[in-house]
Amino acid sequence: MRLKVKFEHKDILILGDSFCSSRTCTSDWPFIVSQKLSNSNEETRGYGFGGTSWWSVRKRLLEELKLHVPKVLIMCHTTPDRIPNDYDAGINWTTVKFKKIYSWGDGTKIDEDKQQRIVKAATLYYEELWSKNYCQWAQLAWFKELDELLSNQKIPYVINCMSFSNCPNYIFQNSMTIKENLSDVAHFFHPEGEGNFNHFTEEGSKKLGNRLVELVLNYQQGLQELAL
Amino acid sequence: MKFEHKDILILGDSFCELRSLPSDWPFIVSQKLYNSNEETRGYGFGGTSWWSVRKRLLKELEISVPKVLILCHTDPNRIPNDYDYALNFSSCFEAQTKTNRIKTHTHPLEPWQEKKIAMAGYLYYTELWSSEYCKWSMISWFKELDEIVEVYKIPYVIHLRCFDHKYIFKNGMTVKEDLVDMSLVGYQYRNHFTEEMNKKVGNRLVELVLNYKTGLQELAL
Repeated sequence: MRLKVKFEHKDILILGDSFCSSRTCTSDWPFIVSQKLSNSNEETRGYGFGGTSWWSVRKRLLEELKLHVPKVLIMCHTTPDRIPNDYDAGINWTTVKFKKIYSWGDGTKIDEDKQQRIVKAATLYYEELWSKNYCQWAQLAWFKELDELLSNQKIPYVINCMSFSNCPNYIFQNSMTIKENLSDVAHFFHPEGEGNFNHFTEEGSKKLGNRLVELVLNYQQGLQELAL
Repeated sequence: MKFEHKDILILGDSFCELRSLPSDWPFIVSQKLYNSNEETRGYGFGGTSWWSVRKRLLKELEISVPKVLILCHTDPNRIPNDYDYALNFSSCFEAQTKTNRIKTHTHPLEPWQEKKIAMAGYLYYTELWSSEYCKWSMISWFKELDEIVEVYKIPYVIHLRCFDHKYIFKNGMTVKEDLVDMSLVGYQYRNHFTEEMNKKVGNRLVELVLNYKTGLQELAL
């Protein structure tokens, strides 16, 4: 594959949820994208906040933009239902149901007592206060803000992937939006555990990485298909 | 400028909740602008999040687009919910230690539900609440509101800041003062103001409509 554009490692930024959290293995799609576009084996710039709200991704994006405006930005937009918090803890329906909120966003362990309090708070929040309409509205507001931000920052290559089908049906104005939801690429979906490449099989992860490289090299704004 | 009753819409929080007495400021505004004693169009969701105001505004716009819209913008930290429950720091914390009730507007609560909801609110504030997120969320609403006002071409819009926020609306007049700074605590005060202050606020808002300018303007009472 011959590159039309030369990128440095810092020019490729990949941010989002668990669909881009693994990025050290050569079969992880974020590594493939970064390696092929910048010819560097350094760990991919950015972060995948597994289980966490889009609010954590927004905060991280703003921090990253202060460091260096990337030339390629790939985002995995998560489900709107997750609970935004200041600590980037993965608080969502599943982690609450299975009482699996072990660590803060920086990886430090949450003590048992605090875990129980968070689980109780989140359980009651979902049962009594949670508003689907409000969550959808808030994520849509974030997408509109992101559109403006991308326009202001003049990032030349931006690919937006929706991780789940309940993300607002939004096509970004100033960048590429992938038609398929990542979670719907069902035959790639892999159960949690060993061999899990951002919820894809190893083969699926490689295909996705290579396809995203193609989409950058043949960049077009608007709705585009992965068509893996 | 001639107005009809339906042309004056006043929406917001407890700062515009009481509107049935001739000395309540919303009554004064609508009475003076359309010369009728009908109850002012709109609603004041005391204690409730801006989300309830947004929902109500969208419903009102479906019925008829007003010519005068006055909005009282509340504290960003109140908990948005589908039932317009008044969930805020005070209501959720006080419900744990006192016999205070959670105020309702559109969906009544049984006592057992109320206890659970108050606990949910209390735990939300102690374990999950993010001040930055709440601020962002309300500013996003303000940006959307700016678009709504433009799309619906509402000619006179006055934004009142109930609590401290610095947003200046592109479309409409933003009043500089925070209403909380001229308010008093106590159930005897209607819309948190003395009767005299209610009258002053009402009369001043009428003046501001009749001498309308967009941008930041002072109440200067």
